[in-house]
Amino acid sequence: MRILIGAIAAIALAGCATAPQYPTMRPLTDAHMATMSATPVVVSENNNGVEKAWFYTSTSSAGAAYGIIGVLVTTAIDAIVNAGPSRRAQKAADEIAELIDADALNASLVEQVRLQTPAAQAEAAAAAAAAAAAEQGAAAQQAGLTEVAVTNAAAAAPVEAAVIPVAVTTPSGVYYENVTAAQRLTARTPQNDVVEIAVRYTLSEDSSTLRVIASASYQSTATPYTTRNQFTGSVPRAEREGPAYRNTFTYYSTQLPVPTLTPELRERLIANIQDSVRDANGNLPAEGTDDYQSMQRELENARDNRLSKDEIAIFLTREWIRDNGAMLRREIEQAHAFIAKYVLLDMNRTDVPSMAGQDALLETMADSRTVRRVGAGTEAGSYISSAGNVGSFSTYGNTIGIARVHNARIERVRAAARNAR
Amino acid sequence: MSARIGAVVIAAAALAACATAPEYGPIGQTGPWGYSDVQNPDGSYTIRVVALTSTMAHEYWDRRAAELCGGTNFQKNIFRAEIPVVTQTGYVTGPNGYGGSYTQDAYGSLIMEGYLRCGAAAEAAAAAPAEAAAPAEVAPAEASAPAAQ
Repeated sequence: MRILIGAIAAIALAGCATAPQYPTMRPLTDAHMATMSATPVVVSENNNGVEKAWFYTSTSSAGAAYGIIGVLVTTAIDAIVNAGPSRRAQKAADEIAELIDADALNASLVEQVRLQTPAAQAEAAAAAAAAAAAEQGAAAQQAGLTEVAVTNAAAAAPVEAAVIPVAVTTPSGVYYENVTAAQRLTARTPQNDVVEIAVRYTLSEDSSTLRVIASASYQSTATPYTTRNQFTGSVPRAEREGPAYRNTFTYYSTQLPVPTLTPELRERLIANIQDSVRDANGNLPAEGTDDYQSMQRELENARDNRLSKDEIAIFLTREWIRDNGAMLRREIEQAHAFIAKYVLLDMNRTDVPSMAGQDALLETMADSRTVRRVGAGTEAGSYISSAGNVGSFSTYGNTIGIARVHNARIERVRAAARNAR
Repeated sequence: MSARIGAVVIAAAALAACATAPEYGPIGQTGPWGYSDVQNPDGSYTIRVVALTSTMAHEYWDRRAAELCGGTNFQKNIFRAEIPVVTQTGYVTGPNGYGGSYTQDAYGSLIMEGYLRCGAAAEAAAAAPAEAAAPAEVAPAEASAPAAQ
């Protein structure tokens, strides 16, 4: 009985014991910024590609009171219950990886960061000036201006072809010097004096939303981290070490509308389930096998009058990959542009986030997308770009499906690291 | 006090929050579900609701918006609608008197957050298509007992 009391008390107190009482975001100080100035960026190579979230259902609570028998029974049940969702998540990740693999994701992020370097900004400004001058010249000619004015405009028009000298001005504060990608999967030590950006891409359980989360950090032996959070007792160990700068940037894509269940959609769903379990000869699993039971369970679910998250995902994943993945590519590029822009802005802010602040709305776009900085809690100081007028509730499960090509990639990287040791 | 009574008292206290029926009101005052809001520097509001179902989330959000604006003439921009996954731990006792602890994930309560601007045209508010999608979206949260955030 004492054990029972102890267990209940421990459960009741568990929630109070673990959460840190300070924001995880770490802003730079003026001293750091002065030391950093031009700083190289390293994109930590993504290896998972676009992950597909799914929910692993556990029945462990049902068997917890029955010892080893309970464990064996619930493990078997879990295997059957989760086989379908697991396979579907894997399939969705595979389909997306065929269009956009990890290398494409990394290249896109590198390019968006490069566009924020002073050199690229100067090039863009020069190109914009040339385009404006050319447009002005064309407009002047069309308006039938006086000969003198046309001459002036004509003088301006060839600017389009001419090379406008690119004047790279050195920005104040911290700025991106250059950008490279590096494989960091098996790295054990942080890189010194570089801004490191690592990104994860996850499709929600129903595939209606793509979530992109970037973690940016900077660490230098020359300027170690000193916490500016206030603590009543001693400073926790976690706050006495680690990066001088750290923050997260989350982008949520525009949401795809959830399909409505119709008899036609139900038939497509049933056909899809059967197709996904057929063997190389086109045969369905033999009766009595685990695969057969799993398929039967999926078919029962498909015939009911509601679409589950992973059933919806079958249809919405196809929306993402339509037109050679045009929509997915566009969202990923927007996400990367948001990350590249706001990491730079944030590194030039020295404000210390607090646990009890207020969200700041930073940007509202024409399509109602907003960018906000979280004001309170452990996530205070982080940035979130959210689509406007969000319709349905998204969930990101407790498990992810990774494409086979990306699992193989991860294995290769790990094997290479082992061989190098 | 016997150990058995002690266990019952602790368990009852731990479960008290879970037993409260959802009631409209500020989060914390009426239980784990309800609303919270804050006025932004530009005069708009940010309303956050925690609810058991999609319908309840929208009802709470719109009701609070009407309270803040003094009517239904407002514009809303929902930027977050999420069902987080929460980890639950527990201890169960079987009919033979033996028990065991477990840890498992479950869908938590629904969280919905959005900007409210009073007096603006209400077309944008009508554009939110959540109700149409409700049968699919509420399923996971309602299938299992949602945990309070």
